[in-house]
Amino acid sequence: MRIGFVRKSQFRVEFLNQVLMDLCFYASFILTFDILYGLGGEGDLNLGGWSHEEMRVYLGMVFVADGLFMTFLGQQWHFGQDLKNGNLDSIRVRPGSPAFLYFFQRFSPEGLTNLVFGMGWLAFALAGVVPEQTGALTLLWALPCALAVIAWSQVFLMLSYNVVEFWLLNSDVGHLVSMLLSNFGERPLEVYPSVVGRVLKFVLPVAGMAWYPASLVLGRLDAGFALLYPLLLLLFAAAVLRVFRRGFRRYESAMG
Amino acid sequence: MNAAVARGPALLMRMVAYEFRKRIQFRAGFVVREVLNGTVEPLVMLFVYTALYGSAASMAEGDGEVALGGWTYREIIQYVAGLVVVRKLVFHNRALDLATEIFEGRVTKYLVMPFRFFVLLQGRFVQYTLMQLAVATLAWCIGYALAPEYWLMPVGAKATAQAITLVLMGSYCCFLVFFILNAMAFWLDVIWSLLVMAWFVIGFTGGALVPVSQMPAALYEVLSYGFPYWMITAPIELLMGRLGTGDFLHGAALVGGQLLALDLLRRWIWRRGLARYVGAGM
Repeated sequence: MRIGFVRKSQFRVEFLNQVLMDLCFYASFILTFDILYGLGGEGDLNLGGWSHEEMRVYLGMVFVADGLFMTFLGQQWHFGQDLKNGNLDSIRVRPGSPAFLYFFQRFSPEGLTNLVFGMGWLAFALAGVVPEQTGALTLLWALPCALAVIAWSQVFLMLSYNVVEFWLLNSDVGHLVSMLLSNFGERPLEVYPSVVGRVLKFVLPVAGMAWYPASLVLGRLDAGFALLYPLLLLLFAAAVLRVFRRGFRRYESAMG
Repeated sequence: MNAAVARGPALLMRMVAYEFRKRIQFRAGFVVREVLNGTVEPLVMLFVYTALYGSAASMAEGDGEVALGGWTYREIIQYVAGLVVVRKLVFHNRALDLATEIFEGRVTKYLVMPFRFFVLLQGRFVQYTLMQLAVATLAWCIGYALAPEYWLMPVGAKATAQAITLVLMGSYCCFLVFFILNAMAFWLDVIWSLLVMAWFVIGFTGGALVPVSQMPAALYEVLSYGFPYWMITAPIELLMGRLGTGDFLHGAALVGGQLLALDLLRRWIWRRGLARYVGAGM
């Protein structure tokens, strides 16, 4: 973290620009859904059963997920190139985990600033909807659980996107998969055809990024599903780590 | 025979396999970067619109087709199809790496050549446009082959020519905007976040997420003066027949004016930047 702050103090304008950039990203989301829900005029349009107020909470979860990603996992954008250039020798150390050493090597203060903005938006959105729907007491345990699920999902989803690069070196496939699934995860899963929704819940659990956390705090889930889904995320994480270890054996540091 | 010679054939086979892997992977990268890029957002918006129009239809009384903000569901599907094609033609900031050249002090070599440096970058714009014209044509053909009844079918050759003209003029404005932001590296050193921000803003104000003409009237009034609207929403509306020749001429004049203004700004920024440039990089 200290190195992250030192690095950013060299480019203060860039720091501000990056904060502004993410705020633009958040604003474009908020405005888009304000416009879409506003198209109904007096009628209450919904998106796959999500009201405008609930959608604001959903967006809050998306922003928090993005903030966490930008703060701790920014190194993932360089993975394909580093793999191709053979720059991963230094992380082949034991007993440390190469995945942990590589992906958590960069801390971003601007990401942290945006995480704070994201949390602020989430608090604002929750204030407008939660007391009616689930009650403040429920929120006391549901919100920390939701945030933990976001963090867990972000780490292992990111890892799963990048393992592709071991087989398709520097092809940008990892970025495409990341972009594709992140985009899908940024909208409630009910808007997609049911088969797509199931894939995003149970095969590549993008649902853990925003859908499950938002549904949990809004009381939209069955108790059984709410309890079992984190187990699925644990299994997914174990599988991804296994594939990562197998993929890492393909790494060759020769040839840039 | 020593050990190094004995290992030679095995190493040779390994290198051949490695080189093949690299070639195939670079081609996969090309497909991802040039062909699939820009298709994800429209696809997601298609699902969002389907859910939204489904909700509106369930609330509507009578059997008439539901229109939201003046757009029916069928028109929105065509709009999204148009987005996939049109956005491919818009110049992307990834095609310009001027800021890195400035940051690393590598601009000097261009300043001693017997031609204007900007011509080199214009060449890149032309190459990008030609490449993307081919990719966009391919994307349109694939879409039409897969779903001819929903895909955007231009109302005529004249509308197509008008739409392409507006997209290319707007794309050149984007190129100038990205050049100007890249040239800000003379002062700011690192500017990638400005580029990404500009890409968001241009996309949103152009209608990459929601057609500008579906936005609230006040917002539409403001945004319809900017080149992004005439680069994304308006060309698609021309292709659909929602706008006509009068609108095209109005748009072409507006975008032409902005193009000239951006070019003047580009020249000014470049001159001011060069005056600060010392030829040493970071």
